[in-house]
Amino acid sequence: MGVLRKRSLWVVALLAAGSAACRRGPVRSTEVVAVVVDRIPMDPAARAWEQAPEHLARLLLQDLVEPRLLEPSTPEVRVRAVASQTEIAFRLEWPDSGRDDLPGPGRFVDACAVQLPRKLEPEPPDPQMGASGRPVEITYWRADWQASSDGRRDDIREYYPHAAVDHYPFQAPPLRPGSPEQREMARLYAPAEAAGNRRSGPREVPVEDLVAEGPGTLAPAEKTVSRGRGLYSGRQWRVVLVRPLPAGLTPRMRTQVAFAVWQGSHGETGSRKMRTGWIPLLLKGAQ
Amino acid sequence: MARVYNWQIGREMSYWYPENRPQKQFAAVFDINKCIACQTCTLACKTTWTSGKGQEYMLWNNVETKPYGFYPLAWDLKLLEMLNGQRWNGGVYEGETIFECAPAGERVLGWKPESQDYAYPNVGEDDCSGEVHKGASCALPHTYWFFYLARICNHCTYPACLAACPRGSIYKRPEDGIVLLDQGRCRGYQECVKGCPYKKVFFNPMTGTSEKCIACFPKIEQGLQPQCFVNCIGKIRLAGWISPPGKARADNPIDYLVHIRKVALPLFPQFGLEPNVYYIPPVHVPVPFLEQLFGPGVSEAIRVYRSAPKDPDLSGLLCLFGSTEAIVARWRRQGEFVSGMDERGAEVVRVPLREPVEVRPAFDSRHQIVRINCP
Amino acid sequence: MSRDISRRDFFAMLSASGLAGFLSSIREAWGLEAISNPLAQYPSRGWERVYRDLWKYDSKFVFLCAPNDTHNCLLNAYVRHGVITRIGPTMRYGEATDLYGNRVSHRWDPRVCQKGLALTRRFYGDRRVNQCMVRAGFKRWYEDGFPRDKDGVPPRKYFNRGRDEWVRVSHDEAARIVAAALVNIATTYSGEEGKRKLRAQHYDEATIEATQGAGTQTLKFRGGMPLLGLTRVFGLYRMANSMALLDAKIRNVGPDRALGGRGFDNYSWHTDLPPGHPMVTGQQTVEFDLSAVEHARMVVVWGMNWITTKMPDSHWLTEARLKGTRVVVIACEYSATASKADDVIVVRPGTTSALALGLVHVILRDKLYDAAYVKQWTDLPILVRMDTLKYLRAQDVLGSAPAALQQTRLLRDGEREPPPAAHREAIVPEKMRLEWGDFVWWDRTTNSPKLLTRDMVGKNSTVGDPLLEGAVEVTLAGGKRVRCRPVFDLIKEYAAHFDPKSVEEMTWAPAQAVESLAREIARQPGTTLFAVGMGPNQFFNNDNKDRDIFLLAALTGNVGKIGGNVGSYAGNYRVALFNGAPQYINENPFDIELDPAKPARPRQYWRPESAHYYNHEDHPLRVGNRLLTGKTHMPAPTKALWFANANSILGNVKWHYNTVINVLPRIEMIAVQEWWWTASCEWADVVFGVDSWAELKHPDLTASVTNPFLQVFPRTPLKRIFNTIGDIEVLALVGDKLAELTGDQRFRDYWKFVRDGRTDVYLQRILDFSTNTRGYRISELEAKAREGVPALMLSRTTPKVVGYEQVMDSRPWYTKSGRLEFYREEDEFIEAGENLPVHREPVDSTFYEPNVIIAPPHEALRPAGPEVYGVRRDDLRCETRCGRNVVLTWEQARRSAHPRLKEGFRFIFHTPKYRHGAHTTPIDTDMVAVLFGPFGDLYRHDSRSPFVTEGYVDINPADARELGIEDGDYVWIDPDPEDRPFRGWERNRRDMEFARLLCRARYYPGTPRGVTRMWFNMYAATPGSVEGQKTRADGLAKNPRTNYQAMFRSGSHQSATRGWLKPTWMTDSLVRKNLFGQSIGRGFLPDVHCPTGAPREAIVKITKAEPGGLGGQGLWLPASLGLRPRYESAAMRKYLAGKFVTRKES
Repeated sequence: MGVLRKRSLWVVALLAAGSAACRRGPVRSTEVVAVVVDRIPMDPAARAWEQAPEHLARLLLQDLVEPRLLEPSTPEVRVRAVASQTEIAFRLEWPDSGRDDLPGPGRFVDACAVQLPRKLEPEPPDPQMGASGRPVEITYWRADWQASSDGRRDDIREYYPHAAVDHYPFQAPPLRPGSPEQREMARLYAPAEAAGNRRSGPREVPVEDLVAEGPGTLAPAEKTVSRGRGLYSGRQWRVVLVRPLPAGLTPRMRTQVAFAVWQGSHGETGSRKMRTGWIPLLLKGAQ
Repeated sequence: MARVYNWQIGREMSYWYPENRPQKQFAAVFDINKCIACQTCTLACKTTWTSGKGQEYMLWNNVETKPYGFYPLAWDLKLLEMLNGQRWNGGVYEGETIFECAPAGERVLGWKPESQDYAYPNVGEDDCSGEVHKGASCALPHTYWFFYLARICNHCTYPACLAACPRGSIYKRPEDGIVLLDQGRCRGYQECVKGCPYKKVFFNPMTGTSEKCIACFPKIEQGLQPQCFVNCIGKIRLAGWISPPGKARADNPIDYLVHIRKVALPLFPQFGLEPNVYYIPPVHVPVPFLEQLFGPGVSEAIRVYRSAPKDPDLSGLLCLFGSTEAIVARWRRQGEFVSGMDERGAEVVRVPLREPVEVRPAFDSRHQIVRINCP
Repeated sequence: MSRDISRRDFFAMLSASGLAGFLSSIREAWGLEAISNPLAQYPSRGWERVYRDLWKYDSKFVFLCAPNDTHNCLLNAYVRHGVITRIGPTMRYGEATDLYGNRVSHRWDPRVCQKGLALTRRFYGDRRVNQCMVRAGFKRWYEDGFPRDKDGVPPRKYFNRGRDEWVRVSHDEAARIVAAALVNIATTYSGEEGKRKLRAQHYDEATIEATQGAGTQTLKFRGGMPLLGLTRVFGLYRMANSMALLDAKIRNVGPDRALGGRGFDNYSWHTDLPPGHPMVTGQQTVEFDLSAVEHARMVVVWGMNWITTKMPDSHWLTEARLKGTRVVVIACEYSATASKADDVIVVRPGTTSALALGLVHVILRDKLYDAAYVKQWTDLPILVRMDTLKYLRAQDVLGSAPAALQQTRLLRDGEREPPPAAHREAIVPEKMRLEWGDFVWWDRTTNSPKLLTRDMVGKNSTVGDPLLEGAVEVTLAGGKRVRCRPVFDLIKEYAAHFDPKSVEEMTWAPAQAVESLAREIARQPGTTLFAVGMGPNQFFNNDNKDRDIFLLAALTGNVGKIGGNVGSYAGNYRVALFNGAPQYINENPFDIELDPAKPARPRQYWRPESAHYYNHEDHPLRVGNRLLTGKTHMPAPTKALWFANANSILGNVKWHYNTVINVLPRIEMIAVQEWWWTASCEWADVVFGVDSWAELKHPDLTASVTNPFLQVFPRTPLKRIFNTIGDIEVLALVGDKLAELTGDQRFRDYWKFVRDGRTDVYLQRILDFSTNTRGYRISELEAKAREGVPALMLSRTTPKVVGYEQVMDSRPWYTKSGRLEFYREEDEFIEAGENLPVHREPVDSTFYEPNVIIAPPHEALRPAGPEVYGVRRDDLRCETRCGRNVVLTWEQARRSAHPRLKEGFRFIFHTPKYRHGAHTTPIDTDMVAVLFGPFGDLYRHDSRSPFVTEGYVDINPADARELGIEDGDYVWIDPDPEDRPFRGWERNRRDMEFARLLCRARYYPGTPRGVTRMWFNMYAATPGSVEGQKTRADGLAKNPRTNYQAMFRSGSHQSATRGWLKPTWMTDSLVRKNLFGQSIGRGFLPDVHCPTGAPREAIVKITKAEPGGLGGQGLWLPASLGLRPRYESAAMRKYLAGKFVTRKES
């Protein structure tokens, strides 16, 4: 019922945000246009973003593969893009009545992602995570990673402030905090971390680079080179995602881009998401 | 969806993947009549596998008091409510399994527990089924009753967690049938948590992945029983290998109790997972409640169990439980003794049906001293 | 790339090779193809190594876990990087053997429990006592030279216990402070001046006289349950013995007149002693190893929650049942053990003696008794004089001198008793034997009186066709004629009052159940075991209970047989299992043996004392004009208290809040040896941080009353985790300091072998001088223990069965008559109206007039009523109630009422033990606590909760509804305001804030209305825990200064208990076996004939405090979800009825 309450609030907020958007009456482009700038603004609120036209991307239910999302949530995401010589950056904005950045049992987090095909080709692969032999590249941001990179401690009391735990074997004397033995022991008791799963543990960056060749094939890139930053305003998320320019994309060239948004309080995770199809992405020439 | 055969419901059913039985299937028998709810199993598992951050609330092994105990809250009640027409026709289940009534967009019928559902892990402890009044007394079956239900992952033949995972990060080991969740591949969607009707997969918020009972496979690989079995002081548990009904052998203790004597029964067979932990139902509890949990074989199982005083094979085997750390793959009774053997037939343990009485000399002349019970 | 390289390695390689961000070749590592059928195959399983790594350990070692639960488990500790990461059973009990080649089977494995597995969290947890602490004020008192006022009282400013700051000091300094305090206190209270000060402090004159002018007598020592550590725990009594050296110095007296310290009792202090056992048998306790149940046709589990308190031995019960043993459970609730029973009878608390009498009634009425057993083994045929109410003596009738005895050795005046190990038959002082004389039974065939000596038992019994019913006129030697009746006849007349219908009203046990159970027991004599638990024993009438259960057992031939016996189960107490212990505890401090090869020459200078007087506001029982505590029991004032292994003496003491608020201020030093910060530490002056079981550097010994194992605490290889030393090293260290302070080197020599690291010398002396261990070498036993293998105790039989020698070898019991005595002829019993095995109503836990004797007018019942003591008959105050001998018929009693009933005190509140703790070990440990009861929540969604679980009261839903209490609400529980939670609470709000019991209420369907239950020994609230809950951000009831963690917001299960004293526990005349060996004495004997208290006696009032929902809003979650009794949703009701499945036979 907690979820229900949150969601109805969210609808109200959505309307408010929508009307606000109308009042502002921004320049709307039919494609995503990345304006070339000298320095990529990491601050989602930076005025620099206003240089780029806003694209209003309509979000669709992911209702093609199980498990599906059958109830719509976030209807649209407002996108602006800028680029430098080496990187391309997107700012995604969507309304959200509450910040969901504490994962837990039955508790999911707000997130978004930008997807590009690996190869520049006239006919891009299936927007649903690409296709065999035709990988897509995804840059994925999560609200809990944002909190972690903003300094949330790796401590159960960050999740449950009144929790009381007597003992962790990896924190007992004679182990010295931070010593190699101590760190090895700590790793043993965090199985995902021990298995090299980089979803776990404290993070420096709130994003992860991923590749996929179709549903069920999503895999982390061997290392994350993208950056990102999300800011919650109390009624909406603004998230900046910065990734390398796709190989071969030069000014005045086009490729495709797709977006996805996960509404944590709506139980959205994995393939239960709101997403777009491919949208043309133009890398604008320098003025 | 594929069609697979589930012997526990006596029919074919649909499942996300085609039928594929492992070379060997890990299985266990729990004698509820011996369970004392001491929670030693719970702590044995806890201290071995889930002492890390984000795992505090996690009990891969738990013991709850039925009928008022649940971990997580209402775990079985919720699904029983969602499941249509649970009808048994003799040994054939005519209702729907959780695979057969999966809603649109879902792979299985399930529900998502929330953090507070895991609070109060021993709620209902020792609460009996009715209010005891002045002048209460009972004989079998008891008017007021409760019993202890020790639970681990059932390492099902048709796991719902495995079917529910969109990434295929959960798999069944061909060599022993143990169901594992790949900690490297999992992305923490919690579809398995939602899908497992026994609620034996848990989400770890600190690692961002889901985790589950591993049947202590590092021990199984060494021929040893899992921690919750070896630490069971009620001596209610026996771990081993189960054969498909057609291939049952009397010298395999699990086969003997499940297939031959039919004294041990699966938990919620109607869910359709073909779980591999088998329970000897408590003899003091009325049959209807038990059939809801263990299926149509309850009355027969209770009859067989109560015949044990006149059945040295059955009582002997049940007294062998918990007497060795080794997996007992074979067993035999010789007179007053019962032996357990490993797969090569080598004896790993031998115990008497009754512990003998030893009498010492009243005066030990070698040590020049009396030996006395009232010193 | 090969499949079994883990992804971790793979990524390591990649990042090393520094490829670009997005890479396609990952397919190799874990296949970008979706997995086709995970039932069949899985691409990469290298990750499984993660759990194999977690399973690994660097080394393992064995330690012994021995809380006071009677089990004692050798456990494996698994070590990684120097840390014990987990614990497990050794699985080698099945290899235990003895000197004769006997062996037990692996059915004894595993031996372990959840509490033992949780110990890692205690070895390393934040309440571990990791050094020595001294209370700041106490340190100042020491540094200022122990200043005192004229009356001897130290200035209050030094004694802000429970709220004071703590100072960390070295063990050396702590020992110096304690030694100095002992010397100062002993000196202060020695001689006439000492007596003057004690009088000025208003101590009871009798207790002042008891010191005999020796200040050392005011020093109280306690090694809690010393069987659990023969040298390191029992050592406190050795320390008490050495106080004789101090007395010799202070009073300048010789070894002949010097007095040691006083040692508190244990088994009786814990209310574990069944005080009626010695009243019937002369033996401390009759019992059997629990595995004996395999050999019984039927077992009556009576007020014993076997499966929760005897966990490792529960399988003997369930397996016996599996093989056909009939299990009958009698309890005051549908208990855990009831769920393992064939038959269950739910009774009213505190009515066990009435129920036993009801069963006896049926057996006598229908003549179902075992006549042969009655004639051979009981006093039932013996004649009692109706003029004096004493046994008729043979001398008075036959005029003959007392007969010569074959089976009893007489000790002439001044003759020294040989050491226990040399006892072959009973040893009785000649003077006593002459007083006893011999006895008489009436021969119906010759119609004449016949001689009966204590030899004439079993096959030596000459009792042929005795008069059992009716009276006879017997002509005494002097010609006088006296009316006499056999004990049988007196009891039958009394038991007639307990017909099944009345017993049903008294006990709530259905008349039909009483009839059928009696028949079932009598059906086959000698094949029923009575396993009696702590429940019935914790009531004031516990000695009546024992006498009546024994009566039932004796009438059915069920005493002393492997498959037919009585057992009382509570505590691991029988130090007599090592009856060579005096070699160590009583070594003569004036004549110390320093040659490791030679035995010591024991001489006892310390005097035992019941801690119940300290618990009774440090005075004996006086009612009206009568002192009802016997001389042999008389306590001395308590001015210093030093204990080890014993939270029960303070932190978990009965009437806790009265003790800490009203008694502690009169005690001048409290020293505690602990490895876990308990409530005892909260109230102490000095806390010595000592080694845990995992760190012992000195071996030690123990054994058990419920299993056959002789066990060693092996020395462990684990490096000490914190700054601690061994308990026994603390004793040696204080010995050193005493030597320095007094200049008497004997204080130092007394502990020589500890300093030399040769504690084994003391242990070997004990083994050599104990009847059931001689022949064992401590070195060999320890070597085996290191491997996880115990040895077998060399008792007469395995399983041990007390009474075996009596029945099998026809040896007399340790009574005057050599028989099981159901009549008590001593003056104290006649005065109390308990010369017969009567039923008394509970002293507080009853709806009727408390403590009345239920009886018909009876020729042999002539108690001294209140008037005799100068007390009004309607004076029902708690104290006078104890010595109130009022007889009512059941007809009168059932119309009477408890004096507080009309004020709303209408719930019996009892506090049994449970599966989640052995006493207080390790209940406040997170993973154990969270499973203790229904309110566990590690994440504490409700921050009002004092810990990850909390104390709660079980209340019948109908009662709760009537009081407007919802399931899960917080409630106040108030006992009799006369003197609880502590005397003077009305004028003391500051202390009442932590003393008044506030807890959760659980709708509990298992007990009938009017009966409430709170599980024993969750951690009590202290001033510090209340402060913590008010000041800490997390709201934990945890002392900010000490980390003490309470499990109540305020109060505890001891808020309602009280120090009750019963006259029949305190006689000077009861004949009973001495602790060690076969000699017989009389009067006070610690842990044998001494007060037990009655901690289940409390009638309370319950009122709602706060709603149970999160943050005090609405219903507690499980209730709001419809999952709780009385709150069932439609679905839950369907579930309970098993209606979710339908079934038809095909």
